[in-house]
Amino acid sequence: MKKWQIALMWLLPIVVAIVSLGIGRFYVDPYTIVKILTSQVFPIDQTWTNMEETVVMNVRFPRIILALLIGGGLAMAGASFQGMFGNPLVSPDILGVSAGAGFGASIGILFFGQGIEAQLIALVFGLLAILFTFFVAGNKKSAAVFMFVLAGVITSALFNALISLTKFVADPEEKLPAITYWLMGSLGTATYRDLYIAGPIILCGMFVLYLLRWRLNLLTLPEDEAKSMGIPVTALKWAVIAGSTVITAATVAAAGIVGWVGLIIPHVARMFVGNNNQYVLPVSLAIGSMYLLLIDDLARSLTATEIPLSILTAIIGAPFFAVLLRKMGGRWS
Amino acid sequence: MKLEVKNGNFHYSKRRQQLPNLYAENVNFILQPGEILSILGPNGAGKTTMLKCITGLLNWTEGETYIDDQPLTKLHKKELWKRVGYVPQAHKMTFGYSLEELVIMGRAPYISTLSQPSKKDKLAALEALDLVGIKHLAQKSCNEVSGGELQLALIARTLVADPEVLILDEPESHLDIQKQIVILKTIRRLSKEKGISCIINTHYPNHAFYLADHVLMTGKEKGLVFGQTADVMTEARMKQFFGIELKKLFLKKMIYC
Repeated sequence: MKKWQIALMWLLPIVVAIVSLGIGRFYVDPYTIVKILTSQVFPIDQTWTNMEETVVMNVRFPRIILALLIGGGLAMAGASFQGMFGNPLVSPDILGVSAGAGFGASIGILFFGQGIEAQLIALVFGLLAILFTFFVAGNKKSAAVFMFVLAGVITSALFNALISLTKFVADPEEKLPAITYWLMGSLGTATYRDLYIAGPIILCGMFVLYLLRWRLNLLTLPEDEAKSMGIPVTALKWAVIAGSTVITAATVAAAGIVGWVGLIIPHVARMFVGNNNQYVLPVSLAIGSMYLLLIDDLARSLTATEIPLSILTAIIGAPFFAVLLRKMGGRWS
Repeated sequence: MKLEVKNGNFHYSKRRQQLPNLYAENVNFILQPGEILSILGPNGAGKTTMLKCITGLLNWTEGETYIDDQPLTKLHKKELWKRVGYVPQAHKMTFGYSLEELVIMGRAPYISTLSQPSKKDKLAALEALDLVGIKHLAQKSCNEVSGGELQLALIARTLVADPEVLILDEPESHLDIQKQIVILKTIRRLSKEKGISCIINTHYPNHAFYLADHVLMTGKEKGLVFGQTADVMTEARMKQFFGIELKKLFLKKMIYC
């Protein structure tokens, strides 16, 4: 990649984020936003109203940072899983994390209502689902990759059934809409507290994947070939699984199930930079964060009520990527 | 480097009917520096399993591989794979890396776990591609080049780690005859010029005859023979192992040379 491309890649999400801080029912112009943001670090004269500062810093800021982290995290996790499983159709929830976390959130909402309890239970169940997947796949050191994928499908099916069960028994006046809405993904209730819980976890996962980005190329090779490169294949695979899993579980805990991003964004990244994961991962991060941020902007400003994220990621994403796919003719493979 | 296998056995149970059990019992051979050993046998004789055992990708159930008189299992994996290069059969890849990216992967034993390949690694990759004669294809996707070119790139991927032994698993078996010769010639040239020893799996007797100093012939129940190429590959034994009449003919002008 050329220097200016790299610079553009990192600059663009920041610009989109600044503009996003302004849009909504209460408009703030970008210049004022930059000044408000600067004032958080350096003392400068206040030329804006307190109202503007509250809207930008307290209402929109945590939501926008979360959108960036979740979009980027899911895209990176998806790219890593696609590489590791050597399968371009894999998404970060392939091992059953999303379904598990979704079930956790559902029973959380059922018993405690929407709040921190539901999020923590979601996180725990996301990780439990992964453990269950590994239990099903068997603990042989060299269990074949497709065993994990099959075990993940089984886990997802089981937890999806359990989600249906909780919906079935939930109070249809109050709890059922909350669960349904939450399962479609939304950042509508995002606060600093969500950011403080999910943010560090997502960043940790990203950091692990980012460091291992070149090694991912080696993991796409058949197992014996990868071993013959003198790398600890099993340990690396566990590290990638751990990184991707915590990202996915944390995103589901913070914003519900956000579909599509983890599957599609890595392919878009590959159209730009080829198959080398050294570049695919950072570019996925940049595009994914920007994409989900734009989607979230639409979700909160398109209509008077919030539109769930998964609806928009698919409705807007599908035609856009269909055109892209036809135009590029799948040139990345 | 000297590579020696003493008393190698690989099986899950005493009965050796099922794959990947190795029919052959008590594998013994010594490979001196710069020599080429060919493991020759029909399909399904366990040649690939044998290669994996020799390199430690599978563990011998009995016996041991020695490298310079040191047991292979005692060597650190990173050190081992700097000295031994494993060339798999060319196969379609899910992700079409460029040949340069593919070859750089071979530098992995030299690159610490959390870092990325440097300029130096990139230069080494181009040099290795040059060595096998396909530097001009460096930026091509490995799913766009021909099978022979991909096989050459896979050889380059091991060369980039500066190995002392190359282990090749039927590198020529699904190529057309012209590409086969290119591959065989390349292997022979590397062995001569760089003093790299090779172990090469093949089911073509003529290829073993052309390349190898020693032959390890294997054939399911028929046992195992190791020795100088000319001693092992007699007409009588070829019939016994491959089940058809084969004649040794020498042409004055060896086409393969």
